[in-house]
Amino acid sequence: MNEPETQVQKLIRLKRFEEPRDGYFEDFLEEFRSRRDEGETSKGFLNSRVSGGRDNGKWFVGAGVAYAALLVVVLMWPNGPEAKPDASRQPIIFEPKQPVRNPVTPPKVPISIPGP
Amino acid sequence: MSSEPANESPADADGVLVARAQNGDTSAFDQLVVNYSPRLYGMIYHMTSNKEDANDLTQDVFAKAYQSLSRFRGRSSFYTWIYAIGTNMTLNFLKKRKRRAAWSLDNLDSGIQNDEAMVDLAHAANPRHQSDLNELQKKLNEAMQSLSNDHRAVVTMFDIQGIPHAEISKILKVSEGTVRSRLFYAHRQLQGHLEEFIK
Repeated sequence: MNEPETQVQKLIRLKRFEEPRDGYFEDFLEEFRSRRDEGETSKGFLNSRVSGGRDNGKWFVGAGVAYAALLVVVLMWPNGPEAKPDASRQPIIFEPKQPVRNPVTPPKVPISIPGP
Repeated sequence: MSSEPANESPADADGVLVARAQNGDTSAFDQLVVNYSPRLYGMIYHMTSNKEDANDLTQDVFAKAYQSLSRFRGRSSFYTWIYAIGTNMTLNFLKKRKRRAAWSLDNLDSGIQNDEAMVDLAHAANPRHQSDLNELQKKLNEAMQSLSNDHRAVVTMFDIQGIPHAEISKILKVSEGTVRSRLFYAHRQLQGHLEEFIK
């Protein structure tokens, strides 16, 4: 290893002195213990501290979208369970035996064009 | 953060603690947390350059190790096993965080400039720049963050934490040659960033 690399390594090694505050690791153990105790009752110990919040957010958004989609499908479904006809509640429909002439249709009268 | 070499950790003592923890002795696992949290936190902190992320990730690593302990068969040392979990989780986290700001100057440890060991070592490394530790620390962080995650991992483990090449290759599941190659390129890149402190 040449001299500049040794100098680089010496400089990088200085980072080992970046340490957390005094008592940090005692608090760290306490935090770990309480997480474990909580997890053993709620089975949530493996919920990630780092990605848990973001994952939960995604889950809620996904669940919301899925619920909205389901609601739309149920409301729009023409033959859904609620749209199924109930024979006893069907209105009575009278159908005419003769077809009704369309009153708007003009009668077929020959058109006579007057001569000059 | 401990700077002791990895092989000073007595594997036998760890084996006893692991066996007790596997039988439900939570105090045995607590002792493993006490033994390894400083080194793991250090590795994760130097990889992420963020204290909060380092704290949360280290908690997650021990949680995962606790949950997975029944599957630990002792084919590697507990130290290698939990370091591998920590490295994988950190690298995955960094991939997800790629687009976010990795760190800010607010995260710099202001107390470091009063650390006598830091001052002595900085002086030994470069007497001309002893007075400007803040600038040095800023440049060191920038230089570390300029490395790829894989390169930063080997620099953190080898240069900062003093873990031997062979152990790093087991943790990262790559050959020793790959570890040495990554170190070579990382040092070359760091040299460019820290040139003013080297000349």
